[in-house]
Amino acid sequence: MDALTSSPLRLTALIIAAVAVIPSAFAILHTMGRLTTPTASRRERALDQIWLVVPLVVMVLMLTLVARA
Amino acid sequence: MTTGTATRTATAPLERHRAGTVVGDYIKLTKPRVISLLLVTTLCAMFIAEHGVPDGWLIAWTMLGGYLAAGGAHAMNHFTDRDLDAEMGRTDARPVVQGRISPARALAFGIVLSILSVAVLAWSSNWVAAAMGLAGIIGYVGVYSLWLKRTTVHNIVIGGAAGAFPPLVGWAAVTGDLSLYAWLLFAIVFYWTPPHFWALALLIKDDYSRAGVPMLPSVHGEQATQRQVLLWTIAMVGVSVMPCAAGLAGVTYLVSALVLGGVFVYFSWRLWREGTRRRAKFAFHYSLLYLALLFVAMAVDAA
Repeated sequence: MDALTSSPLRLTALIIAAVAVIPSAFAILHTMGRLTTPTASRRERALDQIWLVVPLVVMVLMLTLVARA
Repeated sequence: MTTGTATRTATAPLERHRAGTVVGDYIKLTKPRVISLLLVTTLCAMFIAEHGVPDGWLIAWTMLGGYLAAGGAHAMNHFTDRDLDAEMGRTDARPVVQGRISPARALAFGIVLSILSVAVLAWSSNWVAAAMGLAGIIGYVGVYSLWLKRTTVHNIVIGGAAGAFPPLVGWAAVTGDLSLYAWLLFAIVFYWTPPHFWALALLIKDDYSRAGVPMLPSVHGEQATQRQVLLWTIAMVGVSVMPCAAGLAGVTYLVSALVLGGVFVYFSWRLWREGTRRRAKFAFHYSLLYLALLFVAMAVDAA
């Protein structure tokens, strides 16, 4: 964290990344989560939720990872 | 005797033409145009990992291994997707669909290229690079083509990971391992794939509907897809600046990523606002240029 705060470039990039990633991840979750296929089975719907959530969670986790690097 | 000689002379150009067509069809199986962008990401990853110009022979062998890996996966895709390809205007002229190459031969060709790719990468660089090449092949054929493409609207989000392996191949070929920066390159291509592919899917939505492929615009409509293109583009721009946030890239790259990403967001926003085919074409074509230039900017920054 010290390295992050002592580097304006890193801090700027992290803020930009967070501002772009966090709201868009929530917006994707909100808008795509509402899109359901009427013909899909329960198992298919559950899998769809996993495919939707996992990349978004990973994206947000990456923010913490690069902040700690 | 004279007649026979004359006939042989007359048929020789025809045979040469046929041989040329067969070779051309096998090259088509590898989808060279798609591979060119994949190899740009591999090559730039090598320059970034080296912080300069890598050994010329290593570049040549890695490019060959990368071409063989992607080409093998694409050839197997011609086999697995031949039923879908026959239903789509974009793909119904492909050699397997037209019967110029049998499905079994396309599959065998793909398997041979894939084995060769692993051998070339393992011999010329290391097993990490070879394993990344193999993972890309399995991801494209097994996960994307055979499973997700036919079953979920998230097909290209998860399946897009297959196209993100080429920079890992390039990185591993130079360093022999995979650092945080290498995985960030993977992530950039991964999060770039949905807006890129959905822009294309908007252009050929009817094809996907006819073939029964659950692409986002076919299942949930154009407006929902245009919104997702915009949202995923914004998220991807955030991911693209993460190498700077991690202290791995400098100001040259940060400015480049923001300018290139800003233009991508603008095109996606116009697509969402106007919803025309023309806007989808702009977004799709720019996405190709964007990825190539972004990786070049990273390579320049690292030099």
